Amino acid sequence: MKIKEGFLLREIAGGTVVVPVGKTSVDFNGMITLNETGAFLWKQLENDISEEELLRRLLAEYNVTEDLAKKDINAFIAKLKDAGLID
Amino acid sequence: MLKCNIGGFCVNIHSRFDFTNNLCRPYIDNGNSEPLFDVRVGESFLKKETEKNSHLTPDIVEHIFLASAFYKKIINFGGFLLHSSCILYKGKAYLFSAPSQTGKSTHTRLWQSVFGKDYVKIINDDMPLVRFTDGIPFACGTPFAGGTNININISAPIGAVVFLERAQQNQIERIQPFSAIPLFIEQTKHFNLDISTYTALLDMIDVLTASIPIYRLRCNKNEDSAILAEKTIVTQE
Repeated sequence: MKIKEGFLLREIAGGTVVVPVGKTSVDFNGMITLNETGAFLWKQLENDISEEELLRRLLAEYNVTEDLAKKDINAFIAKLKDAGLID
Repeated sequence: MLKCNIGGFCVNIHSRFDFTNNLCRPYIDNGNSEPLFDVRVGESFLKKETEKNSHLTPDIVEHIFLASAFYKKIINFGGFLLHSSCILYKGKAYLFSAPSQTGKSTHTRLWQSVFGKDYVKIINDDMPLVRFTDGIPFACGTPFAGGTNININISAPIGAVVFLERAQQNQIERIQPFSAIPLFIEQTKHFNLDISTYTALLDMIDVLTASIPIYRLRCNKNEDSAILAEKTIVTQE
C-alpha cells in the first residue's frame, strides 16, 4: 500500500498541508490539510507499507490503544481511497 | 524584446504586440543589470491557444501566457503573485484577494471613492508581486494586471492581506496563519509546479503569514465595507 506519486507534504504555519505537484496538479485540483496523526500516517505511506506495519509504527509513536489505532488507520485509508490517492 | 525591472527583478519580456509592450514601458530597465531570465510565448503554442480561446485576440492570449511564465519563473528568484487587487494607502500596501468575480476591484474602487483617489492608488488590480527585502514583505506593481490592466510601477511594504467574501452584512475578522494557508494556496495557484518551485512558494507563504496580519472580510458592495475595513486593518502610527 502506497500513496501515489506527485504530492508534496509540507509543514507550514504550524500545521501540515499536502499539495499536488507537476502533472498531478492537473488531475487533482486542490489541497489537503492533515492533523498530526494524519501527517504521521501520510509520511509512512509515502513508501510501500503493509497495514500491519503501519499499525505497529503508529502504536510505537503514539500512546493509543490498538483498537483506536486500527480505527484511525482504517478511517484514514478509506479517505485516501475515496480521493483516489492510494494505489 | 524589452528589458524590464519588475519589483526589483530584471527580466527580458519578448512580445510581438503593442498591447504588452505598452504595458511594459513604465518598467523598462535602462541600467546595466543582467536579466535573470527571459519570458516568451512560442509561435505554434500561441496559434493553438488563440484557436482554443476564440473570444480573445492573439495579443491578449500572448499577454496571459507571458504573465503565467513570468510568475512561474519568479518563484525561484524569491517572488510570487497573489491574485488580488492591491492598493497603496498611507505608505503601505493592502492586498484584497478572492476568487475571480468576487469583487476585488469593486472593493478597492470603494476605497478610492471613500478616501479619495489621491490617497488610494491601485498598485496592481489583479496580480501584484510579493517579494521580501531584509525579511520584510513588499507588494510591487507589474505589467500583468488581469481584466482592468491597472498598475503602477511602485512597491510598498505590505500592511495586511484581506480575503474577501460576498455577504449581505459587512463583517471583518482576523484569521490565524494556518487557516489562511488554503486561501493563499488557492489564490497563488499554478498548475504543474515542480517540487522545488512549489517548496519555494510555500516557504514564502509561510514567512508572509508569520509577518503580517491576515483578515477575512465578508462584504457587500456599499461604501460601509471600505470604511469598516480601513478602520480595522490600517494601523495608526
